[in-house]
Amino acid sequence: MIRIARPALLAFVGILIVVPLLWIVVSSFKSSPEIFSNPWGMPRSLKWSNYATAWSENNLGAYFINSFIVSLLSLLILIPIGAMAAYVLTMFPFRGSQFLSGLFAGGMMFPNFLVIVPLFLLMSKLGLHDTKAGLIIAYVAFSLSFTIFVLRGFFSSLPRELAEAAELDGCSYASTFWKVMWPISMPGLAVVTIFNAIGLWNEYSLALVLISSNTNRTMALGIADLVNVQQYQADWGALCAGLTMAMVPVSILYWIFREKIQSAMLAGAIKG
Amino acid sequence: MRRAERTRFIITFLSPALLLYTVFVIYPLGQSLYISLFNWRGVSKRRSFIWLENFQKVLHDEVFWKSLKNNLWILLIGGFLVMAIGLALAQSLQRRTRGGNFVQNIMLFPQIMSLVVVAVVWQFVLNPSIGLVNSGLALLGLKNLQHAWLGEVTTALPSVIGVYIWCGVGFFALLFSAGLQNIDKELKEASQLDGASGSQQFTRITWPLLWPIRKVATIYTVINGIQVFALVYLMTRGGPDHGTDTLLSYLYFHGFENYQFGYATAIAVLTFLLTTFVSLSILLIYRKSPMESAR
Repeated sequence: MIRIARPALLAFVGILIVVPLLWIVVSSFKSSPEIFSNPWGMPRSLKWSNYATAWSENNLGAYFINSFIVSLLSLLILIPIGAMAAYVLTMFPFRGSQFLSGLFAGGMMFPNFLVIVPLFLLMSKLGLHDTKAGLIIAYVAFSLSFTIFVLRGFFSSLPRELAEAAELDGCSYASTFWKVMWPISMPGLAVVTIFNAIGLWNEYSLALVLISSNTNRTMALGIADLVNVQQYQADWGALCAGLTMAMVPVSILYWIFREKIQSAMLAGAIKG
Repeated sequence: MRRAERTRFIITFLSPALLLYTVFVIYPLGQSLYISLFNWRGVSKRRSFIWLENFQKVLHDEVFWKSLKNNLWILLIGGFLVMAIGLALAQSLQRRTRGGNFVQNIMLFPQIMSLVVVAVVWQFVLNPSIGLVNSGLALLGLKNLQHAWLGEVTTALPSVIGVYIWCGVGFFALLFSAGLQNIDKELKEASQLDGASGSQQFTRITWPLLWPIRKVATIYTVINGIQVFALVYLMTRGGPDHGTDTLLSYLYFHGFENYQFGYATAIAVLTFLLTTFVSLSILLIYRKSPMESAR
């Protein structure tokens, strides 16, 4: 029984994951009538123009760039300040450091979306509603919990002696961090960076509330909106092209770093 | 001298993160309590202090209870199936085969895809006219089983739960795989020599030793089950007839479609209390390892 059940389960799961995603990619090369008349088959010819339509006519090119800018700037702020905090919290215990570690980690225990109304009101009051800056600030603030948590685990595995040696040589605490600890932490920093990059690229719920105008839309918002629009225009081919454009960067990142990402997911989960 | 420098260093290194976190995460969380006490409509300044009236109204709101019930269905049925399938999958991945490696590599794809992509993909798959499910049923000659999956009251919630499972199984399989790898191989071999059957091995060795992983998995199941928003909002907008609304999608509906900030925040506060209560109960249930008491 088990001898058959095992491969059967694997095949079932494999098909269930691959087929829907592959179907989108295949359909992105079809014309709309072809998707309707022949939903299962291969495209008769590759309709690359779907991508051009999605990129320029449906404005996804602009949203793609917005997503790129927002994710990149968020990471450029998040990773250094998260690393600085995690470093202090692991290497420099002081009264209250335990409490602060718990305060940061606590953010992983409840859904971000619970604070969406006060966050929206706060951003409006600060003039940051519907700005990329506001979205970036929110992304950084809400990614700190996970980032600090994983990096704390990473820093506590580093040799403390290395920092002490540098400090004895007369390095200040800050330059010890930037010149000695930061470079040797690259593997850990890379993992949290990739992990956050994927999450931020995909983020939808916060952006839905914090962004309202077309010029600031991210890819996730743009595609969700496109679905609503396309239901009337019904250019399904272009919609599938847009979806493929959203999937590809994440898939490539994931495929290159899959083992690291898996270990980051486990580190975030198991040590908790 | 060094001590003052140390203090200065701690403050400079901690403050950027702490400042952002306090202003944009902790402060809004605290402010929720305050906002929930107001009758606050629209972006205008017009608001009146009404004490706990919002909570009173929420607790008498049928749709709130319906949303909570939907959340619980997702959490219990979806959560149970995600764990069961995840564990079965992890077991199947124990023996290294080429197919197993392939599945191991791709099983997290649904999790790392944007929920927007997931929602649209499944809207396609479940689409009544061009969807894979209905055309598959037609191919098999089972036309009478066809449904407008996301549009009918009876099938919408189960469909959403199905997609929820699709997204989550990979991560739980990963989690259980790590747990299974930590179980001592010698222990299993010894029990085999003692004549333990496969199922005995599972119930007596594997299951108890998975205790720490089960604890993590249960906590994740609860948090994930309560925070369902984007999936539902994108696939069904909470419909038909609030049949798939969750606490958070109902919160969004009141906050940003009706602009009743006070009412929406009252839902948030109740959801927060519920999350805290359930998480604490789980920690309490899993307080003591069964291995310790056996020893």
